[in-house]
Amino acid sequence: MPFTVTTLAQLKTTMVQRWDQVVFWTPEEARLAINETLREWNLLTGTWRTRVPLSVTGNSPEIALPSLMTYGMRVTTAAGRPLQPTSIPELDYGLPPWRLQTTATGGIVPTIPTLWAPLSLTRIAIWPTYPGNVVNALQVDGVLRTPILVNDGDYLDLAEPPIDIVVDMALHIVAFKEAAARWRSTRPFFDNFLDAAVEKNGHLKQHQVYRRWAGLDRQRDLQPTRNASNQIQGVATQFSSHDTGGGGQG
Amino acid sequence: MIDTDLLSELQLTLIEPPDGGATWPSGIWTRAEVLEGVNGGIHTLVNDVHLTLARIEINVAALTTTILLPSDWLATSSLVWRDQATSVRTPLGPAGSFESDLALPGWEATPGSPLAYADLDQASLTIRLCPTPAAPGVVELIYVQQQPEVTGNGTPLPIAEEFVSAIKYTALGYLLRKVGRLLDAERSEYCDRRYELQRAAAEIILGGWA
Repeated sequence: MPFTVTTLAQLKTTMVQRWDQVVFWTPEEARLAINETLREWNLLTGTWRTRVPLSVTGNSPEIALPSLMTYGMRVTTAAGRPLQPTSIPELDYGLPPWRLQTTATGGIVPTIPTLWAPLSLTRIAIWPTYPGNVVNALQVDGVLRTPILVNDGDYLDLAEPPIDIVVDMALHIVAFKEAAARWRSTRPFFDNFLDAAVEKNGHLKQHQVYRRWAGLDRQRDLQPTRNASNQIQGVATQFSSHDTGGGGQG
Repeated sequence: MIDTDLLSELQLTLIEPPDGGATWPSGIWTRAEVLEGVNGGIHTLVNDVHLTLARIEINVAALTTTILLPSDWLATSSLVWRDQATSVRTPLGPAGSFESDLALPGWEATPGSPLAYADLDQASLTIRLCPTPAAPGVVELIYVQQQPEVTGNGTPLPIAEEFVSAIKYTALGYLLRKVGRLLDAERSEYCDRRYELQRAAAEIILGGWA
């Protein structure tokens, strides 16, 4: 789908046009709401991406991602061979010596990196690492920082369908200030925004963490394996509802 | 994003004149309360999803019963015991003294090769290993690092911009729950949902989308 160029000024104008009542926000609030929408969209869908080379420090499996990247999604060697994603607990429990091994270890240890795991948003670990420093040994595909719109002439490079979604979500955000019925009437805009994000990023809908949040995982709701209610919570609920259980006194 | 920008955004949302969070003329909230809400949001997010982690190695002598944690420790993400003589690495799971007493009676007095750690049993910022290590080794600790407090003086927020909404809505939820004339249960519950969405996204990203 072709990308369109929509300026911040156009987005703000569209917001006013789509609000058929007294506008209750300033242009600055509209700008902030648009930027919040873009940040949330990028977090959920990873729309703005880039590829950067990574250098490895010898004997260290940890690598810091460049600051322009919000999080990494895919790692390959410089020759383009992909590393499989895993996690630190899987490495620790499944391959206890992983941190001490390098491509020169020999035996069953591969001679090139084959696994990567996120340590945090800004750091990853690889297995096996190289025994010496290697410049631009790997490439990482990741999500760029969300572009922030500041001036009216700044433009947004998004395909056409999400523009409506962006404007509606921004309206929902500015309406929060008003509260009550007018804000409540924009709640479907938030739902539409999430539906669009899920459509763009199929991983979201499949992932049980998101499904739990969205209320799609009924089995877990009914038979929780964590945070199940207990007697202490029952007592706390009584207190919070001001039900002292003091019946029979009157 | 710098902290004063976020504070101005909160002011606009709460119908206060935006001035980087310096003044709150409605008198409903104080600047200190707002900063408390913002810092609470940062701590909650960082702790809930282990957003930023640090790693250190702590040398442990044989028969050590108390190991000091770094002063910026907020929570343990993972801990591995590495035997000094053999370099064999053993990942340790979290346990409490109650569990240890049941599973391994005498674990404090009879040293052995550590199988678990307890970081909430003793004084703050200390851990102990179960059983007490019989030989020297190294604790490889990956922990959630406490973030610097936001003071509203124009310094960058200690998290990626994509997670600023989590902080914004945690702070708004906190402020709108205040018992007063702007108490708003509906919007504060909505704020919780917005925070949870960001939390879910962070959890998925850090889990590697698996």
